[in-house]
Amino acid sequence: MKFAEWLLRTFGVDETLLGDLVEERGAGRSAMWLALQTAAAIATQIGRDLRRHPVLALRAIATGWLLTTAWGVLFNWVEIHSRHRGMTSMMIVLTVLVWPAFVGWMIAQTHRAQRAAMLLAYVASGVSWSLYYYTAHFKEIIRIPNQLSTDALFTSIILLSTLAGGFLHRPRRVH
Amino acid sequence: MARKNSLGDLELLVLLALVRLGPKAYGVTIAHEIETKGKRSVAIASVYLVLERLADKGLVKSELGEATPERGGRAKRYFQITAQGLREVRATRAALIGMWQGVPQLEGGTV
Repeated sequence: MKFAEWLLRTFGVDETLLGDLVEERGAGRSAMWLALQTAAAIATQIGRDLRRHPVLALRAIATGWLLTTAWGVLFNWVEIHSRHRGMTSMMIVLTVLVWPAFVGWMIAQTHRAQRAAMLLAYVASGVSWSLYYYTAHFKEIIRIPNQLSTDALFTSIILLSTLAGGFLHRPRRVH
Repeated sequence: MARKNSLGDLELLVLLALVRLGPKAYGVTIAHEIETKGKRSVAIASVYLVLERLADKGLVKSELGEATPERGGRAKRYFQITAQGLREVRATRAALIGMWQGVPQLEGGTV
């Protein structure tokens, strides 16, 4: 139940619904029942947030892409101007792990009440763009050995880092 | 003349559950009522989603109850059908009966 409660809280599910699930689990409902109800509650919450706040979803996507583009510009500038050999590899680590986590954190910070839905909206836009990019450039990418698998790995890590950064964000409770 | 806001399938079931349960209606009891009397399995989250939609239409109202230990200290939200909600249920029943009558294929049978 603890994990389900954590998940439901993370996705911003209403406390009364959470209380209903706790009550039913305590009354003898199975773990499978709880898992299905939790999944339904999360899906419903995300759908509701996106339907009710389409402008916020667009803002979250724009925020994410703006920060990603800003990092791309900085990355290119450092690559051109840096004389240190180790600088580029450090920048790659920052690009794949640290910056996406920061982007996720920023989206969560600027959309606190609907952070999970807004994060997923941005990640969905990233997945869509990646699919478009790989489809459009498939012939060129496939010619280079291991390029596709490397790109897919990096893209997956970037998206996971974004989600981790967003979900690690702890909104300050208002009393 | 046709009505503007007709009720959906689950909306009607939820409203009927509210009428049947009276003041005891909250997420768990509504879902139970739909499962036992309506013979339909429903996620509690879906019940809340429908209740939210019905509240937006002014067909239900709600109030918070007291927090209880078996719910981890969380309060129940009790729901009640409004007069407008009751009118909608009656109108939907009349519409369904009107559609039902005089159709030989729908006569008899258990399901």
